[in-house]
Amino acid sequence: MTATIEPEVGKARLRKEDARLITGRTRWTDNLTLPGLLHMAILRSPMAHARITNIDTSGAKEMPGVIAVFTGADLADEQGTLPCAWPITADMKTPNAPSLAVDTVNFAGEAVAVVVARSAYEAADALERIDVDYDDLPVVLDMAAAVRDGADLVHPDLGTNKSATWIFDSGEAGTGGDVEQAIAEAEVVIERTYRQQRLIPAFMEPRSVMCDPTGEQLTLWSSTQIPHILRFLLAAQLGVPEHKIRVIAPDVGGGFGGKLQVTPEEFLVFLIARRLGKPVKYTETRSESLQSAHHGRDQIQKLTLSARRDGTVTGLKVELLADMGAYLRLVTPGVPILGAFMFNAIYKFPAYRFVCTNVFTNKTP
Amino acid sequence: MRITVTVDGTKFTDDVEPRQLLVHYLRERLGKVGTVVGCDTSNCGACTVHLDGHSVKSCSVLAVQADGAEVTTIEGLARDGQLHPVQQAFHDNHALQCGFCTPGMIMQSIDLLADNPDPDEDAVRHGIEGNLCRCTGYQNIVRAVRDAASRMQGGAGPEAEQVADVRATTGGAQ
Repeated sequence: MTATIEPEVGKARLRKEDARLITGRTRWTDNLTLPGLLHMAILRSPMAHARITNIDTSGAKEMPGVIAVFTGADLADEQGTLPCAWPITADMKTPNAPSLAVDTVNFAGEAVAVVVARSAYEAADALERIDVDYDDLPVVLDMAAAVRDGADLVHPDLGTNKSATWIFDSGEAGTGGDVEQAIAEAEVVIERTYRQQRLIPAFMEPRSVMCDPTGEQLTLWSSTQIPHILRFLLAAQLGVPEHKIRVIAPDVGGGFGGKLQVTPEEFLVFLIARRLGKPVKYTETRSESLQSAHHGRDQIQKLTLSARRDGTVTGLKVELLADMGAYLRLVTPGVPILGAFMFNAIYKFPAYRFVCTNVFTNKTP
Repeated sequence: MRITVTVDGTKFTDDVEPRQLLVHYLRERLGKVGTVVGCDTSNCGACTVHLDGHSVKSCSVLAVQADGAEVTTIEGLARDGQLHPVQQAFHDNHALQCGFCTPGMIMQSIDLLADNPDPDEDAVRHGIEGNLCRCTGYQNIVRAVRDAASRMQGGAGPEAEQVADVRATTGGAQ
């Protein structure tokens, strides 16, 4: 029997997942609830760079419905550091990245204290009763200034605002010519400096995470793009065997790379649910999301193109400063260097040099 | 404060804090999680429901304001397993991706079509300007609303949605 194959290319396809989504039968993480669920709210630093000199949580602890209040000092022994899984150079400088700030805050929006209460309203009420004393530190906002000698430092213990410099040079690699020579010999040289702005992925669904510590496994639901990686890193960073952790990404309302992350919020919900022995959920407000979920791009790009007058390109030099914000996160050092494979587009450049310096500033990572 | 609200055809009586937002009452007390919260500035429209037949952003309505009223959410649109024409049109025209903005878009679109049964593209874009979407770029949403308009006659949808006389409503731009 001969079967005729109908062409699939060009055929319209209706989606399979719409039935639930258009009738509101959704499983966004914030929809989920468990018996005895507690709600977490986060107090965030309004300061871009400051030393925390005192935190008084006594007022918050007395508020109705409040079960517990934690500061960085309370979690210092178990919170470890958030992971950075992409060391782009052997000498990359990686600051310690606690989920809850202990001595210093390094960006406005960094978590400073958490409240756990019987309802989200009660948790939010209690935030207002936490008193934090901050001592201002110099704020680093401009990348060009940050890399100059004598600049104020985001992380004084690192001695520099430069996290790493990654270089590809076709001359050094032996795959092409020397770009400085190409520029020197060129009939036409074009130099441009571009500012790639910082952007916010702005997924419509605010991030949300819930942990149930009561089963044979700790189960974590998170609006995440990377449930498998999150599970591995919860285990690796927090010292819980992988088989004891289950991570579920239920319905996720947009990510755009903004939920491709291992976040302070996920670590905090996990640690606190485990400590209290009760299910805990955290859902961010939009304002929190804009301020504390990781941002995109933010580069100063200097490009130099050398060419012959007939339009034949002979060399391309790319020099980038890429803003890491206050901390490195899961893959943030690697994203700007992906540009190495893209700046030359579809053209064959006989000489190509790409240099990217990742820079710390007192901004959202 | 004690309130009585009819939501998607069922009457509920509850004690609520005066400051509780309607969207939180729907989600947390009634379990109507089809209606979602997308922002904290009333910009995004993801929380849109109908209050006595007109669209409102439920994040900007207090639960106590809905006392004695009829609320329709995304979950109350389908009748006897039949989708509302706007729901069907969203599916047929690929007007959703992640689906988070979708309930609010659908509820607002229904309100738009009640005011303007045959909107052109411009009228649709203006009519849903209070609803944000990050996935689709709006093109297919506009197509879906116009597609639904062409399939709908006045009076489609549940009882609580009935406007007294569609022709008597002040129409939008044609």
